Amino acid sequence: MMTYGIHILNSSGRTILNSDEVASLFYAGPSGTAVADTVFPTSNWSGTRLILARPSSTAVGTGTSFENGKPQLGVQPFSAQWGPSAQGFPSTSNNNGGGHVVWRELKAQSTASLSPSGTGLVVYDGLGTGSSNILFSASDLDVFATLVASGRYNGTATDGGFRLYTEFTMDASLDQGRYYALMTDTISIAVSAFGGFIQSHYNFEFDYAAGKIRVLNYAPANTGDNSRDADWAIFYLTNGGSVDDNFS
Amino acid sequence: MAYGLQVYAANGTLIMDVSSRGARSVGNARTASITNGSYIDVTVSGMTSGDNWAVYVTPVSPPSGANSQNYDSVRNSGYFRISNNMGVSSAFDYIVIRTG
Repeated sequence: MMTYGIHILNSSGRTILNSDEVASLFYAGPSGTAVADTVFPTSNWSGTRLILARPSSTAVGTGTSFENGKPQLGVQPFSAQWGPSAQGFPSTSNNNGGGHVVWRELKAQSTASLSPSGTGLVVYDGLGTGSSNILFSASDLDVFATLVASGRYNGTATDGGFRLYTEFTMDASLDQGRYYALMTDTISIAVSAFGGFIQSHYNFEFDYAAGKIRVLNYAPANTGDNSRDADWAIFYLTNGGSVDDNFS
Repeated sequence: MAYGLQVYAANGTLIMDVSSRGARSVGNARTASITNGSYIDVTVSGMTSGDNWAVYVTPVSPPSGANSQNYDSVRNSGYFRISNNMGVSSAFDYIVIRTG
């Protein structure tokens, strides 16, 4: 039991905020729209960044089988580009939504040089009251992302062949355009197999018609590990503003 | 509400309540270079293998091609392990968050 401070639990018993942790809540920072099959984001990223992304529209392209035209989002790790799938990726070549994604950067409030003012609750880490000590500032959460699902790339459901997946169901009462997948720690690469180039994924496929996001664990048997040990996450922008009000 | 905390943004939007999961930043850094076939353990106080924690890893110098996917990060009690099987040496950027 803590002797002072604040510890907030949700209804499932998970910690939302604990001033003993010196762990700051995230908020959704800069955003933008990027062409999906070129460098993204243009400045690359480093270990200090959590990049969220979603398709720019609900459009579905042409395609069959594994590369079904539904937008799949992931990172080509060796070039920091979005995976260049011909069919399973938003691109201008397959009528798949114009080839754009919307991205946001998650930042810890303690690193965002916030200057809380006015009304609202501010929680500091107990080490000071500077901007770097902020764990939570209600007055700076106008754009806020909440974690709605997380797990590991160990899905066992299959839709045939090598595509294993875990499926996340979007809340039908919420705006589908505010669901973002965490791109950091994803993989989307084209590999040579079976006489041609196919995709190898540990990433996300958005299916807006079905209200699902599939967390793909898809690696051809002759090209790599089919049970990667890594974490994934899906966030929901609770208050995204005009950037996220474009799904009609 | 019967119990708990609700937080509203200035425009009146409910941004946090008792069903929220508050992802929090624990830290981030870059490892030393890890040779192919080797691993590095990173100590994190309180870490568990459960789903209240997450570690996101990006190779700094991955190879071109399918081998670039051959790295893993596994959470354990008090630390996580990054293993490199990409065929080349590489440092790794990592981000640690608490998710519950």
